[in-house]
Amino acid sequence: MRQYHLLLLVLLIIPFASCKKNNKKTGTYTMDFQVQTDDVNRELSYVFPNAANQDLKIELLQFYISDIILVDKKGEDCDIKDIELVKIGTDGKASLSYDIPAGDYTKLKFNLGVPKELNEADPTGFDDSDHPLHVSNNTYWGWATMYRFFSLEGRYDVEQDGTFDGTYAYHTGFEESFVSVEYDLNMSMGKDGAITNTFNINLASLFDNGANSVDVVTEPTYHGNYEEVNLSVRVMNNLKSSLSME
Amino acid sequence: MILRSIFNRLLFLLVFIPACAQISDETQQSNEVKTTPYELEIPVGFTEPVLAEDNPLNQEKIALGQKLFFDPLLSKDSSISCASCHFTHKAFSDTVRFSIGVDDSLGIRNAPPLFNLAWNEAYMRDGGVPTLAMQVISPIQDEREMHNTVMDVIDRLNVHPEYPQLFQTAFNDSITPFTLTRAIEAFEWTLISGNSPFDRFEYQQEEKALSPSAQRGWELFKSDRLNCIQCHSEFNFTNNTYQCNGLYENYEDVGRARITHDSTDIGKFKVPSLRNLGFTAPYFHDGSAADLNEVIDHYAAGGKKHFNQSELIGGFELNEQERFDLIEFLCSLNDSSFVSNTKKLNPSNIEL
Ligand code: HEC
Ligand code: HEC
Repeated sequence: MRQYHLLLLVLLIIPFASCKKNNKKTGTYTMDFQVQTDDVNRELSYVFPNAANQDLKIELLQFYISDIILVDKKGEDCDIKDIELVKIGTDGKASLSYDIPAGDYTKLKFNLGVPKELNEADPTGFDDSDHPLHVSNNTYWGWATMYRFFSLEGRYDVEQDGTFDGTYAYHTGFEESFVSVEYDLNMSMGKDGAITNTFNINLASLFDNGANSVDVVTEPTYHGNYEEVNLSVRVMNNLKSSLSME
Repeated sequence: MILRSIFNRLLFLLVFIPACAQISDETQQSNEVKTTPYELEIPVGFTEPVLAEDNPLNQEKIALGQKLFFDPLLSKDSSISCASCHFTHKAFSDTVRFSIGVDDSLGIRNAPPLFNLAWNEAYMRDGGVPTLAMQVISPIQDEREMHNTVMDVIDRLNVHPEYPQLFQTAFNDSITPFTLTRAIEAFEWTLISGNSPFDRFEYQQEEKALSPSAQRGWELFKSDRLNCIQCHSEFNFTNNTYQCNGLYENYEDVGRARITHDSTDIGKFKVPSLRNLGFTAPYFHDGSAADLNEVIDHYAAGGKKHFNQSELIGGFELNEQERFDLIEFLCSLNDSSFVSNTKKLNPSNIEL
């Protein structure tokens, strides 16, 4: 336990050191995630066609985001959170909220995936059951001793006749699949203010994405086989492409 | 210094209030609960193992870990326990090449014996698991083994008539992924084997413990001709490295490369201990050698010349007497007192 606390301590102290935090002046920053097709908000189970005219349905959509950082107008990083698990509910939504120091921010950065040092840590060390890396989230691959970054599972209907013909399940992982995103902001957080950014997840782009496209019929699963890590990388890049800030 | 450490402590407290709950738990533990401390008995000739600091040993914890090790409750359909693949009368190895998990699913590697684990630097044949506590999660989750989830095990333990109290006593804590894995780890640390005839000969000055034939075999084992000791070295007969001993020209199981993703690690496996070979057949990561004669045939032929094969595997010739001597020596590493003690641990008292 002691080593683990030290690690956490280091992880927590760095943010406080780098971001001039005046504890009294904070506002609430919320990141909302919303599933969409054709720019319309959808529930998670909404059936949509892919480019090959197959109907797809999603049953599980959850992913880790890490090292969430807001950059202030002086260019300084303000660390918001080391790790979160974004679990999209059946309503097609997920939401994260943070108290952040009041100030002007120009950029939001985070990674999709679990950073190396957390990915290699002992998962039983995260013993607070609300911790995003707690084993109750069922995101840990015991045999591979690492986390699944992104779990995307569902069904496909090849003939679009209303009968699902098969299932797909992509559980991505490995350092190669770790990707970063960045958004420009023009955000002034006042004391006791509340600002929400909505991140739309375009469901179709999770599968159709040019060279990164994923064929649910011929490559329906990824379960951590390193030899096929390219599929994991594609799925993660699709997740990145599917995300857009409103 | 003192000021600085006070400052650090304050900083720690300020920044870290939620996790401090854990620390005060630990202090409470030493104050309140009466557990019985336990010291590992280290055989003569062995080094002192470096145990994880987060898991101080006590007898209650070890007994709890033992109970869990033999409890089929851990598997999805409550059909198998750890001991279903790690047999007590086989130095905790399996008798078949590939173990059978729940729903009759077949594993992909031969189950290794479990002893002297406290000295391992990493676990599994490819060294992919860094600590013994973390290893516990693997068989519980593996769909070819227990095919369960850790949380499901915890839910079942929580409604069990005995376990909640046993955890409370051993850890002064509830049943969590942390305490579950630490209990089993504690039990596994106690599986120490170091009382073979060879140990008595080499470390306990019992000259008669080894027959002249076994002594000649020991000399062969150490010789430049056979090179065995280059890899199977020190008191546990392993140098704790990953080596390719040239078992195949093409490895179906890439071994260490599964972890490092490095082609120079294909076909490399953790050098296994050679203790208790009399109990642990079949041999090698896939159980492909049925007996020690087949193992020696492999080394004598100089391997299959895989591109990562160690230069130490060059082949040799043994006459009949020498082969006999080498096997005599390997068998002198059998610790029958270890096995007869572990047999008694099996609570179901199956006639074996
Ligand atoms: C279905 C059979 C099966 C079951 C059940 C099983 N194991 Fe294993 N065990 C194996 C196999 C096979 C390996 C080798 C895996 C590898 O190297 O990839 C192994 C490896 C291990 C190792 C690593 C040893 C070393 O030298 O690195 C330990 C420790 C271990 N098992 C403990 C346990 C515990 C504790 C349980 C119960 C929670 C358990 N096993 C349940 C088959 C099994
Ligand atoms: C280059 C290092 C190296 C040398 C030299 C070496 N070994 Fe090994 N040995 C290994 C490795 C690695 C394995 C595991 C291979 C596997 O699982 O496929 C192994 C496995 C074995 C096993 C099987 C153990 C088990 O539990 O499955 C025996 C027995 C053995 N070696 C005996 C010997 C003898 C006898 C010699 C000398 C003739 C020798 N070894 C020389 C590296 C070596």
